[in-house]
Amino acid sequence: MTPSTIGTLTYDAAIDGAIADAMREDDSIFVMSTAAPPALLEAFGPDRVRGTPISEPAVSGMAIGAAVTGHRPIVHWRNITFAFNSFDQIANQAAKLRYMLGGQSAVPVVFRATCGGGMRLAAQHSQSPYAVFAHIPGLKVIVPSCAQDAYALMRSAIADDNPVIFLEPARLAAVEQEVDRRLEVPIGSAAISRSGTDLTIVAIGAMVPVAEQAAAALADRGRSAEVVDVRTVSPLDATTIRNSVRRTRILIVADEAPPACSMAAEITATVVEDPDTWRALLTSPRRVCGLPVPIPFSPPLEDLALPGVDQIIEAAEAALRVSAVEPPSITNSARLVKPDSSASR
Amino acid sequence: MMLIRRFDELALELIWSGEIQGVVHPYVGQEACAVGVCAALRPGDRVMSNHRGHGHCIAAGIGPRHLMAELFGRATGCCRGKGGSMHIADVSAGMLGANGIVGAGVPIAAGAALSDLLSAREHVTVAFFGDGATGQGVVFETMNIAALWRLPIVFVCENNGIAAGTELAETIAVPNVAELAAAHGLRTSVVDGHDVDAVHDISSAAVAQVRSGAGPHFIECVLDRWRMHASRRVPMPDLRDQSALEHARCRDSVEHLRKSLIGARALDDRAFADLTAEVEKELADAVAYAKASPFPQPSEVLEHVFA
Repeated sequence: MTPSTIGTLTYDAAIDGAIADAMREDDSIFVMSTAAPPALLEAFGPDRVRGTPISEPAVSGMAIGAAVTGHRPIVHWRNITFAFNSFDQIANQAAKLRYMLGGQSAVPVVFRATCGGGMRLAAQHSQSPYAVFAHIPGLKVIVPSCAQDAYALMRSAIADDNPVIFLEPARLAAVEQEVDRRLEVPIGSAAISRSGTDLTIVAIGAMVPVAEQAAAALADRGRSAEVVDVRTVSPLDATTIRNSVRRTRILIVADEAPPACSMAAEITATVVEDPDTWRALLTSPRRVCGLPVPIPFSPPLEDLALPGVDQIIEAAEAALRVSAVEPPSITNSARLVKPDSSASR
Repeated sequence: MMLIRRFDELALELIWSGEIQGVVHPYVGQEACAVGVCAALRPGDRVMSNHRGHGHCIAAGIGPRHLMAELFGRATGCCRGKGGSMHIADVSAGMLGANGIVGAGVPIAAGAALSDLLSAREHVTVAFFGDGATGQGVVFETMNIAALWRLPIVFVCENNGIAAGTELAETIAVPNVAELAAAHGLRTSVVDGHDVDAVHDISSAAVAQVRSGAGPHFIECVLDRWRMHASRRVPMPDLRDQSALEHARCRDSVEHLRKSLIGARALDDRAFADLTAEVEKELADAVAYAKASPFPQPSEVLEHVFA
């Protein structure tokens, strides 16, 4: 049965729908999962929807082998924690194979998994290690924040000729949205999910709706916050992020991963290393990140470990206060000198 | 076999003289395995190699020129000089790649076999690995899945008795690797890996069975690694008992074949001398070709990260 073009879907159902739609169009796509989704299994049978042993390294490697020999496999790790079991196959094989072979072969494979906290699943099942994968040349890394993007980006991931890590913040699984199956979202494009003029909040995955809540609260106080949803952490859409910051002149990054070597760090660097964007900044960028701890089980402790609306508002207010104290004309002219002189060193 | 042996002896000389850089894992002593197995394959079949991969490459049909140029890091190498010794591949020839991670090619080979199964292509994939790969869980995960799904794959364990520097008896608790494979539901064969005819006979039977849909097969080729695990410019020490190694060199696959061919009057001394000269000529040509080839353009450093 062909699904309707536009309909309300949960985030989870949007991804399943994208996979099913793609599988209908292309026989080379197949799924391997330690828990084969019943609807897909019923629609496509056990050859194309393969239940596997709990052998993530082997299954991940097999997907690579199938990808270099004409198929487009999708591996469902279920939770990103199991990607670490498969890390050799991801970091040493999938990411590097095409390059090591001098371009002889493409590796069109999608690895999907839930990620992130908020589900009371404790340390091993609540991680947001997208920066770990984004660090590795040869991988594309996607973290959609809504059902529409989840659908469109899964279609883009399956169509891509490269290994794609597709991360699904578990907190968003049941969130519904109207999804138009005709809309396309290219990998590597961020979106402005809320327009504003006073500051930019760049957010990743489950932090996007949190940032939007913070922006709504700030609006009540007369502050206009723009929210940029990165959607793809690798490649990162530096243009959209920088353009937003050049307009609003204040950067807040909201990322539930811990701050060290994080996407929040990368986004901050992307902004400050660009001379034009650097000159536009009224104050130093601020990162709102998870605490540098394994995610604890105890609900009040987990809530402390993950950043929320209040921290984003706090960071925004602090940035706005400082920028108001430092008159923009002086800050700007002072800063105009710095990057130029450092660039000429 | 002679070409494989001389290729890797030459590769060692070239790395010691500094003409090629990096690391070489010589296949010397194991030639009969690659040749016997690959001779049982037909076009469209695939081979997955490991770090000790030059022999598999030559047996799978990659020409010495492109292989040598890859060792020299030249743009005419089969991976445009970007893979080097540990990552040589020629996908169009069905040679899916050497691999710098022990055991890691095995699931990738099984994925190629799954691809063939799903497309109803009657191809067979061979996964070569050493006894050292028995330390890698992914190898046994793969055997299990291959048996479960009746994948068209032949697992070939080149049991040279030593994993890098650790002897087999110190790494597995059963006498041979085949027992481990059998425990995962594979049909197994153990063969003298110095005897190319024996390897070929066993491989042909296994490949035919696998091709007919009987499910995967495991072949253990018992053989000897004549040289060190690996060599960089400064040779890495080989701490094995050298008298045992001398004994191992008596089991010489090339010599065994030479005698058997002369005995069958299929070869005489003169023809053998001609063959020897031909191999040297081909290798000299490969080195000259590699040296005359350009390095990749600087722009290539950014190419092939993504398709």
